[in-house]
Amino acid sequence: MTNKLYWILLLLAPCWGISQDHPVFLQAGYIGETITHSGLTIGLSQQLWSSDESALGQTPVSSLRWGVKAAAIYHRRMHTSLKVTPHVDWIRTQPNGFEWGASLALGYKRAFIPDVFEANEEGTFKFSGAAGTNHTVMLAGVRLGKNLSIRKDLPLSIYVQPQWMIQTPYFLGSTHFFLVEAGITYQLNRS
Amino acid sequence: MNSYFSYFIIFLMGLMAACQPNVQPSPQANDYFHVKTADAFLPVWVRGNTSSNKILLYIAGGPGGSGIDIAKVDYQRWKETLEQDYAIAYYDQRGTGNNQGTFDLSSVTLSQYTSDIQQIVQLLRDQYKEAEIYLMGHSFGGYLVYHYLHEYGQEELVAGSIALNAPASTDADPERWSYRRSYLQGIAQELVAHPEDSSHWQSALSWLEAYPEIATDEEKRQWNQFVEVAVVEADRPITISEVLGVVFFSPYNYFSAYAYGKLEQVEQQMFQEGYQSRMIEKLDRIDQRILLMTGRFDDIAPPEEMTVILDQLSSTDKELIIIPDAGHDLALDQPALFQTAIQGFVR
Repeated sequence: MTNKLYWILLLLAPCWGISQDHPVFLQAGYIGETITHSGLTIGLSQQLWSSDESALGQTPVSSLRWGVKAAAIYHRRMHTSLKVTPHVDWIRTQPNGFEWGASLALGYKRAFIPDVFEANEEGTFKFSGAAGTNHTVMLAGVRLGKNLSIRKDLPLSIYVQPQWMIQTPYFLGSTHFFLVEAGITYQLNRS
Repeated sequence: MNSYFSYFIIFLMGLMAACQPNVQPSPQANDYFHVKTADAFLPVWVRGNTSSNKILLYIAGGPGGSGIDIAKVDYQRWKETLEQDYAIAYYDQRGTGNNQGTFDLSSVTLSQYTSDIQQIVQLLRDQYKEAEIYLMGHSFGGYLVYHYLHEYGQEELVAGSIALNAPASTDADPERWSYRRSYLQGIAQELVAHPEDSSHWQSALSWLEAYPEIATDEEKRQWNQFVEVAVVEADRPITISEVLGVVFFSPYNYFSAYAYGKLEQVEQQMFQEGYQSRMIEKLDRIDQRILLMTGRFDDIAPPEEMTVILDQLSSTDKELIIIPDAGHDLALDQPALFQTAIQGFVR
């Protein structure tokens, strides 16, 4: 059931085109599991709603975005993970460009466990460099950033997003991770 | 776009599959891999002098202790001592540390734990073909050593076994409190001559005369109050830098290892398993080469019980060493004596 939900979300997420009416954003950045176990993330998102986009830079403006992110994280001796997570972000932009908000994501993670040996029936060991496990993950994060289009006229935002991830299945149900994401958002279709 | 992504994944998997660890004998080996056994991926860290062709498979105590964590902080300070002479293989028991996989609590059993040890022993023999493998279990880990030898000892895959501070009885075994009573008797007689605690030990001796058996919870509490004065606390504080190293710079996800009460469930499960096993009655089936070690003031594996264990083992090559001025962490309490004893056994 969880796998079907993931596939439905994945299929729904790209079902929009780059629209002149709704801003579309490309984002890329660093993502670190427990901060120091490093990785990269890229994503595409679209603004679904804004409280008053024309007032950006004059009054606080709220917006809602949805999109998909992919991330690869290298935790040397534990696992390398690939994550695909459709997500929804709520962002509040202040007149000075400061942004804050929240993000929720639900998706899929594949953990590649390094240097795995497994006994076969003959009693010898076969080696697998990419054995691993599949998981459903849910993430919740707090976003802090700066919208550079307001004061500096750049179609960019910079952000940092600490987030909490719950991963299942795991021994006795689920396990938790703390991650920090930091990156740049670029608006693709700025008018 | 989708086909490019697929090709990238295939390339990544191919790259990983091609990089089989190349374990060569080294005076400073630092090999890390995983053993997949019964749906669990158990991490194994082989560190130290693999050129010696002697590998000590360290089995952590607890239950619930993480061998990888112990290795990461070098809790026993073996990096500069024992690992100069031999290699030590640390691992996380199923359900502890950062185990990955799809196993559940039903596989956290004594039988599975000993089967996991067997898998790791076989893998170490497979990867380090010239090496002799020794088991070295501390406390609950030593209890697992007894179980392993009982189950797999006849296959003679290990050159010898070391049980450190390892009782064979559990709280459910009536023999345990007989050993503990004898322990209190022994240390009270030994320490009553010391002027600073003389009255305490005199009280203990008087109490023992009044209570020929220790059976009730109140009597057990009283026993604890007497023996705790003699307990030797290991002088090994964990530093902030070690904590930070474990949290941020280790093969660890702290939350998997320590948060959310998983270890308590593993501990309870293993205690329940132990209560039913009655290993104290099965020791005569163990006839492999074995070294028992305990501290004179170890109230969990008292010398009085270790003497009984030694007597019941069928091994012809067996020895019990009681380390003076040492408690339940004898490797920390008396590191030099500990190392000498190990060097004498792992020849």
